Amino acid sequence: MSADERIAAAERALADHGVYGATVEVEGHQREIAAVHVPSDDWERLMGPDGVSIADAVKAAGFRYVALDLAPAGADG
Amino acid sequence: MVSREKRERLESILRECESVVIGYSGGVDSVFLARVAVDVLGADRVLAVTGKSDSIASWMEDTARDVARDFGIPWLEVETREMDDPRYAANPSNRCYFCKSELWTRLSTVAHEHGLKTVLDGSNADDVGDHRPGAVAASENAVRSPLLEAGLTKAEIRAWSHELGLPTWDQPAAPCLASRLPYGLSVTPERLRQVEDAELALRALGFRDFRVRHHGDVARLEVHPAEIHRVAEHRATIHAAVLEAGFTRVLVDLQGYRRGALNEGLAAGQLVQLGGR
Repeated sequence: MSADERIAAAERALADHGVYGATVEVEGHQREIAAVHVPSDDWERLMGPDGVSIADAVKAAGFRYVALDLAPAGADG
Repeated sequence: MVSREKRERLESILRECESVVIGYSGGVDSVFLARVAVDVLGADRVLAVTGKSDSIASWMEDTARDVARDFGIPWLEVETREMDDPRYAANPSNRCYFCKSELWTRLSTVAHEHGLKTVLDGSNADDVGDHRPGAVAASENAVRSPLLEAGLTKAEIRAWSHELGLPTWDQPAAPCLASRLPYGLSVTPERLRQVEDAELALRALGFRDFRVRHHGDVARLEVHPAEIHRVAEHRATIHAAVLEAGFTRVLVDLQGYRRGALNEGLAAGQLVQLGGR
């Protein structure tokens, strides 16, 4: 599966769990991390108990780790 | 609660060792072992030795020194040079073997110089089954593991440490800073400094059980599930502090901190388990 396909699959998995408007980038020296940027309103849910099951769904797209970007909305990288 | 049988077994093993040098990191296990060894053997037959290197967090070194002073444990610090070994710096999945080989070789020399008979480590019964290539180096240097031999678990060591008044009784596990780098990403003093600076910033915010994983330019924070909700509260401060440590992007792992997360990508054939040497 190419990196682009993994991104689309990860964003679909997030939408399937009700997380809309998320963007995913590939990070890590082995390209093993899904770096997820979500609107601030979704932070509380992802940092709560739902976060683990959502991460599992995103990992199924081909990532070893799923992590939220701490940069504020609109910030670069 | 620790059974009488296990207590007596540990004391018996220590008496068997006669006089000891203990690999003393300042963590829960080695502090406990050193304290009990002093009780059983007397201070003149015990020397706790801390290996000083860039891969050891400065707060661990401070804990090691302070506890030794406060509890009458004879203490020595020796510089270790694992970073000079290219096999270690390349960060293979058996990196710990090269580090521990350097440590145990140095401690064996210290034991010989001080006329002390046995070198000990703080491995415990819960370490069996973990990926521990360093255990091979311990075995090669005839290092004994009294806590493991006595069957003491981490929970029992914490409970007994509490009884003894040791401040480390509830200290979170704190392996070396190189454990924050995924295998294959070379270990450098600069990368270890970045990890330490970022972790000190989180510690200053009151986080206790977490890791800053180094992925090149990216920091991936693993925070214990019990504390992860606090990340949102301190989001801007954490972001700024970790960037200041030299990373260009800061991520927080949705699954939180779990022991040995960087071993998740290893194939079964790469795992070296304690108890299966």
